[in-house]
Amino acid sequence: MSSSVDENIELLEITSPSSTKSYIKTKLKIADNKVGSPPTSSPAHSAKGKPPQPKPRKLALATIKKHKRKLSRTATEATSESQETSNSIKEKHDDFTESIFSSKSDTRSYREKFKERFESVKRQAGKSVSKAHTLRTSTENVKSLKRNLHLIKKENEEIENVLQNYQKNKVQRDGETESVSKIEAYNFFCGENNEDSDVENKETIDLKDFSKSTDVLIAVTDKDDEEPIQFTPADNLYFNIKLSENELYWKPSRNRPKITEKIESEEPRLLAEEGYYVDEKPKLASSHLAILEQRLLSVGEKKWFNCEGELNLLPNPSIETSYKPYLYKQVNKDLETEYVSATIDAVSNEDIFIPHSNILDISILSIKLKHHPLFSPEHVLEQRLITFYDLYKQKLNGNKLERISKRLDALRNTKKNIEATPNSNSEINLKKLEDCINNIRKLRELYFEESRQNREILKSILQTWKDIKKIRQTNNYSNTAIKLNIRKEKCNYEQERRVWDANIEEACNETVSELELELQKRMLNYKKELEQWKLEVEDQEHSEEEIPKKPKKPTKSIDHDIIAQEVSDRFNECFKPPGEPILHFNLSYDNEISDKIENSKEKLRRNVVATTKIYLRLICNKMEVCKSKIVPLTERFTCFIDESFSVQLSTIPEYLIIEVHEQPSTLLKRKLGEIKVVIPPRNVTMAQSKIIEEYFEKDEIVHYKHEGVGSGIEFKKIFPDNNEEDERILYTSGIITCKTGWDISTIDAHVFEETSELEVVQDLLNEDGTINVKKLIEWANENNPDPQDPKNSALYEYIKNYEEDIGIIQNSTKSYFRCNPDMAPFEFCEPKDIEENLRFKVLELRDRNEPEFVGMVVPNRLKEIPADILSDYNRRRKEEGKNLIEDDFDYDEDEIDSKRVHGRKYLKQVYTKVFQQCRNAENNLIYEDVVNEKLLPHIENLTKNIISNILSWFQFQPTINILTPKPTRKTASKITDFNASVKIKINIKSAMNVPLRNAVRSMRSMSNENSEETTVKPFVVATYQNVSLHTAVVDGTDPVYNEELILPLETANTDYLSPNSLSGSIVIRLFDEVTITTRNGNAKARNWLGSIEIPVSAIAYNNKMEGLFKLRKPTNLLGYEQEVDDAYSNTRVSNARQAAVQHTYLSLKVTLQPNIPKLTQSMDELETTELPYIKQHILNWNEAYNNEYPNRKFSAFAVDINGKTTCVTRYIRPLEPPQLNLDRFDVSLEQCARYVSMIPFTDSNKFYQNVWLSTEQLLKLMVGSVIDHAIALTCYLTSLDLETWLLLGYGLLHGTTAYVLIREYNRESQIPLHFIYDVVTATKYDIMDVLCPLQKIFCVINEQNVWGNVQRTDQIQLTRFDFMRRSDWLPLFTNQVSAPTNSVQQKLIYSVTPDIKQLEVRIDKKIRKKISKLRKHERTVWNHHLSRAFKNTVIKNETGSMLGRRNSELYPEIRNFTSSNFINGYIINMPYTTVSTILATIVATGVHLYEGVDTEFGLAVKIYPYPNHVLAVWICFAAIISRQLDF
Amino acid sequence: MAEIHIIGQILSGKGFPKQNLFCKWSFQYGNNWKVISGRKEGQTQVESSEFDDNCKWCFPIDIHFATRGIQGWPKIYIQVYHLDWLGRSQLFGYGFLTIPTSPGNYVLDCFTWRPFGSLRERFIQFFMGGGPQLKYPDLVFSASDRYKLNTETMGIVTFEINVILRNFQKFGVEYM
Repeated sequence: MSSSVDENIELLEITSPSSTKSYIKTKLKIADNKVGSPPTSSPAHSAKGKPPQPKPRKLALATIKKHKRKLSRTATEATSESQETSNSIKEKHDDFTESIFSSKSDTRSYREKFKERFESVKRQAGKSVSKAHTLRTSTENVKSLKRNLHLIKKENEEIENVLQNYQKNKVQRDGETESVSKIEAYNFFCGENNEDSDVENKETIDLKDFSKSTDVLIAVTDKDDEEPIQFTPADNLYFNIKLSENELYWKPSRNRPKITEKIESEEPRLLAEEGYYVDEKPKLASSHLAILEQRLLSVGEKKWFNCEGELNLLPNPSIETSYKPYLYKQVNKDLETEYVSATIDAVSNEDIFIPHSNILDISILSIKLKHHPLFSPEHVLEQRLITFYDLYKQKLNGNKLERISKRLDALRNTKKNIEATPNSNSEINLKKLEDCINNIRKLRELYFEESRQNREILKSILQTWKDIKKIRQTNNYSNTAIKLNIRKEKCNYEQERRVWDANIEEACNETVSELELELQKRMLNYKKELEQWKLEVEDQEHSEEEIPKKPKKPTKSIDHDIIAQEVSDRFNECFKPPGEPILHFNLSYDNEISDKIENSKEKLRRNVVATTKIYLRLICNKMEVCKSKIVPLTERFTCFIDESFSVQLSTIPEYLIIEVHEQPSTLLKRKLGEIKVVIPPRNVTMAQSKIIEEYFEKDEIVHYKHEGVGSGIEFKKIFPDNNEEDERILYTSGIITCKTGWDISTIDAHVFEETSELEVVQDLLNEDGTINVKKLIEWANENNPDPQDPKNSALYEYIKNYEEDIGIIQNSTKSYFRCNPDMAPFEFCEPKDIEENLRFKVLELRDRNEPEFVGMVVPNRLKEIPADILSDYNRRRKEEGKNLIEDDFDYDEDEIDSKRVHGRKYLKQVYTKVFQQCRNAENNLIYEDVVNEKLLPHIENLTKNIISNILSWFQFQPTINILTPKPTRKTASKITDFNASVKIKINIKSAMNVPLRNAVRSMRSMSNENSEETTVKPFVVATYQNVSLHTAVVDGTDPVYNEELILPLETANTDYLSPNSLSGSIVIRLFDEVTITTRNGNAKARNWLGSIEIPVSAIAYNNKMEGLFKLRKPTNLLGYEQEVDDAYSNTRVSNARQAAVQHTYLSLKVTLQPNIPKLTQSMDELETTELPYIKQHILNWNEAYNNEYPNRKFSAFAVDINGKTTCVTRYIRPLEPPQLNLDRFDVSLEQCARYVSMIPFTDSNKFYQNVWLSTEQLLKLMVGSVIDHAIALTCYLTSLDLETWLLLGYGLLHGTTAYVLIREYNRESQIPLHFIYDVVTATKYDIMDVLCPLQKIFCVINEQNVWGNVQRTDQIQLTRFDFMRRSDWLPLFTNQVSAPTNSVQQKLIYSVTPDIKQLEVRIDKKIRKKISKLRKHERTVWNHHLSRAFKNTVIKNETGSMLGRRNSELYPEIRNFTSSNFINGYIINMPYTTVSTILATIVATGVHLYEGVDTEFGLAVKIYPYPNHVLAVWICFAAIISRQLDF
Repeated sequence: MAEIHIIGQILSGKGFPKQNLFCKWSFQYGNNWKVISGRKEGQTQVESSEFDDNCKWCFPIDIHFATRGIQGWPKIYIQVYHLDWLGRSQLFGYGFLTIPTSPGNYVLDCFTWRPFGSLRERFIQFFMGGGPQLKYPDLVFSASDRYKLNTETMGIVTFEINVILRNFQKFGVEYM
């Protein structure tokens, strides 16, 4: 080893660094000496007189050279060669050895200096000499030679001595030791050369140099006189040193050592394959590993390697997740701040809850039917083949068999290893062996089983294919395109036979050894038992008890033949017999499906298949969401749907259902099956998601007459000749291929970043945050985390614990498992205790403002609460739920009353429901209701007074303020202020156009004063909820009252949390005070002239109502002037004037003080039927409008009967009015108005004005608000081709309400005229009329759009009605957003009104009874003439009013009647609501208060029926004083 | 099944840099707790004091809980906002107050803070209003995360709270 030589030199250098130079010198000397010695010795020899033999010396040198070369090859050959050499060679050999010895001695002499050192290295020092050859050329210095000559000469003598000694020795040793010494010598060199062999080239060069040098030297010796100096260039020493230095280092190679080098046993054991848990190794670069391994191996430390031949690396101890968060880098996304600029909208709570829109994409690729009733037998077989083929492929790809066999081999090896180990009988080894054997047995069984299965699949495939071919052959046609290609691979029988036999033998041996082991074990057991028994026997000898039986000795029963037989049987069953070709299958679909077929049944089947279509329905939360296109069923029973659906989910269900439907051409549609598609986790997008294949099956029984096999039949029945045991029953089944994923835009970025690990955790948690162990176990089974991995140990322990506890848990009622069971002792009670606590429940309900519990005092102790406290509430809830759901109620056709009662009840429920919804909503109060923003009321009042005074001063006329109420009264009212905090102030200023008493009547001298007779003495009575106040009596037709009546409003009525607050109306009645003669003298009586009903809520919504209120007079006032007559006969000079003349007006100012809070529906929070974007648009528009025009607030959303918001435009739609005329086809405008006005009105609170009924509902319920009526009228008029709008505005009497706006064109001028209809009175007003009750217009609505009034003025007269003008009217829907089209209005079906005769009679009777009852002191006499007279005319009256005619002149009979009597009474007309309301109205008029002696009463009731139970009631009620009696 | 009534008021806020403050408040409590009656969240009116920097809200709080364990004892979480002269609101502080666990009358101070934005954000904040807010304000409750925030102190919100406990002693909970 050359390197080792260097090493030694290096060692030397290291040991004596100071003497390096000297060392090199000596080395050189050595070299010189050594090399130089043979030539220099020659002259010495010659000088000494030795026969000079230059030639043989030369030869000798040559032979040396030769020899050396030979020797350099191999030492052994050298020896043989040396023996072959001839005598001459022998001679030369002597010389050779001589020279060698001389050189040896030379070196020895110099070694003395380094003796101690050289001793340690011994022979290797010689090698250093040989190495020195390389340096020779550089040191060929003759001078040094010469210098050394004398030293050499000196030593020559010594050499000769040695030689002599040697020769002596040689003689002694000759023959026997010569060869030995030769070999020794050779070995000496061989050792050198051999070790130098890797640098052979160098060696040869050296030798060449050597020869050259010798030549030179020879030349020198030959020419003695020549100058023995030769110039040689300096050689690079450094290079050599460097080289040697490099060779000093040992560099491990980068190749990994072989496994066999690393392990002690022969073959590595792969623990992972044997089923042991193997830690995950830290990843290292293989080159690093290799270096490390090399180093370790070079030291021979095999203990670092494990049995696999891998380094025993510990798993990476570092944990990737840090326990300490980074301080400077914000890892937690949740903690991020976000710059929020200052916003105006302070109320929004959006920062707490962010809803996400969830769009789920589902793409359905295809349906593959595994079985279908329309399958032909061939198809069945095809499917069968495909199934087997898939199995086959699976097995082929899985390669399980091979893996098992490898593992088996590995196990067998380990077993062998164990057996081979010396102390194989130690207990541990035995145990190991046993384990090993057991494992082998198990694995072997598995191997057999697997192999058997493979074989069976092969067989099945072949069998099925055979069947298919047979069917095709018998049928003469083929239905399927399937084709099985079989490729045979031939194999070597001999070889396989050998393997086969070997395998059998091995298996046999193993079985035998297993049995033996078993036997051994049993023997051991037996021995133990025997000892035990012996002991027992000994014991029992003393106690003289029964002796236990002696244990049986196990018998040895290993029969090799039987085992061999068994094993070979097994092999035959499981494996391919030797020599059988290996089969490879490949399925293709290139068989031609025959088109022309003879079989009619088959034709039929094909027809059916061709006409059958399939579609899919996507069902989410029991609702059909999407439907796929209809796809025809192909002959291959595979449909490619290839459709994607997007579903927006508000709540995310667990799964979606995809239903497969079949649509045959002739038969009914039927469902083939359904699959549940599990909704993917929130962070899975479409791109990420995997394709799912879901299997569905439907167990139905179908039979066909044609070739189709049907469904629900056993496989065997179709193929009776099939010898396979297939118990399957064929049901319709298939596979749907689909893909689901969330729309990428809707995925929350936050969720997106969650790791999959978290997902697992989330999946495993219950709703209450506990771990669902069942799911956990499922997950564990599915993912199979390594049980031996210490990371998973906690998991398994948990499961194990759970499984141990499962018995207990299953017995207990708990189905959950708390995360932290230690918390349980700290809990006071079960959650349901709190849930079921009655007191808490009541408190909660009270908190929720449920009407039953409002204001209830809940006892502090549970026992004081009556158990049935909830019964009322529960009953109501039940009823509500029931009634609101069953929409079409069944009412008795005959019972008009019941219908109305029901309608009212129903509407009330709707209202209550809406109210509850709104009350529980946030933001149900508007700012104005909460804050009374009158900063300085005194100043406000003061300024008002001053301004009005100044104005009045300018006008020079007495103002209403002159007659102020008395101060005492004011103080009184102030006191009542405190008690009843809210009051209604009615400032009655004046009345206009009060009807005069009849001239006929005036003639009658009831009283003494004449002046009184011709005129009237009207006074005003205001009534609200049993409180009546009246003004003073003022004479004349245009009286001025200037009085303020203050009605208190009870607190119960102003509580905005009560659904009935502000309901009811103030009735202001105008009476005429008359004096009548009674038995006791003159008495005052009152004649009712008319009344006004103002809903309290209407006042409350504006707090003020002021203007000329039109008195609602009865159709006819008996006993008063009908000034209409002449006016009517005139041509329509001025409608306004005429109206003014016709009607009586009251100038009122009604105020409500102070402001009371009112609930407002926040349309935002209610559910809507509109699309979200439309809803948003409407809300935005509405809000903008309302903010801009706070005086014209309205809602473009209406609440429908189900409590959902609906756009108002959807309420307008042309609707066919009822057919009111028998003779004329067209229904007139007036008729419609009349019809609508005869539908009863609710007297509900204005809160519900946003609850709109469709006309159908209105007709069904027979009750509705003013707006509902207006809607109905608008719909009717629209169908009459009139330009009609629904107008929302503010009018007198009803406050914020709706009117119907009609546009008519005058024939002469092109200027359109606008009229409004008041639906309550069915009167038409010109919009330009001063006396028009309409005061403000908010918006107009028709089917297409809503136009908000954005004109500056509120004055109706100045309002322009060109809706196209953007500056006047702001449309809600524009080109961008169009109005929702589907109307809520249904087509109307009018029911026939039943006979009303009985009702008439009933009402009549009731009124009479009531009046008689009220007149306690007098007998009530009924005059029958009047009623007869009245009834004759009432029909005309009705038809007249239908045509909008004033028709007082149409009462000739009554006129006749009045000519002979004094009559004070009226004829009124009203819609029929209930009998009691009619009674109340009649009683309120006070006609019955006439107490005259001769007073008789006349009563007539007539009901005019309209379709759909609409009844117009006409009542004539009068007090009659006979004229004859007076005179 | 113990009960607790919390009756009191959000008295005032002081030490805030500006007036015109209002306060959004909500109760936070554990799973064991159930609100029997009363509002669990709300918003006070906007308040500004003309004489000192003490905004007096006197906003009533009245809530009744039933509980089956003392874990998750209720806390009040507040967000103080400032309404500037343009009618815009901006966050002035987050605060958090644990309801005392023994009955009695308390006047409690809740110290508020708000995120301290970057230089740029503060610059915008100074001129334009607004300010950095927590993206997920619920994180305020978890103390383990909160310390990483860079915040500045804002004012103090004073609460007056009366705590009435019932039936706690029945379950072995004693209080001083």
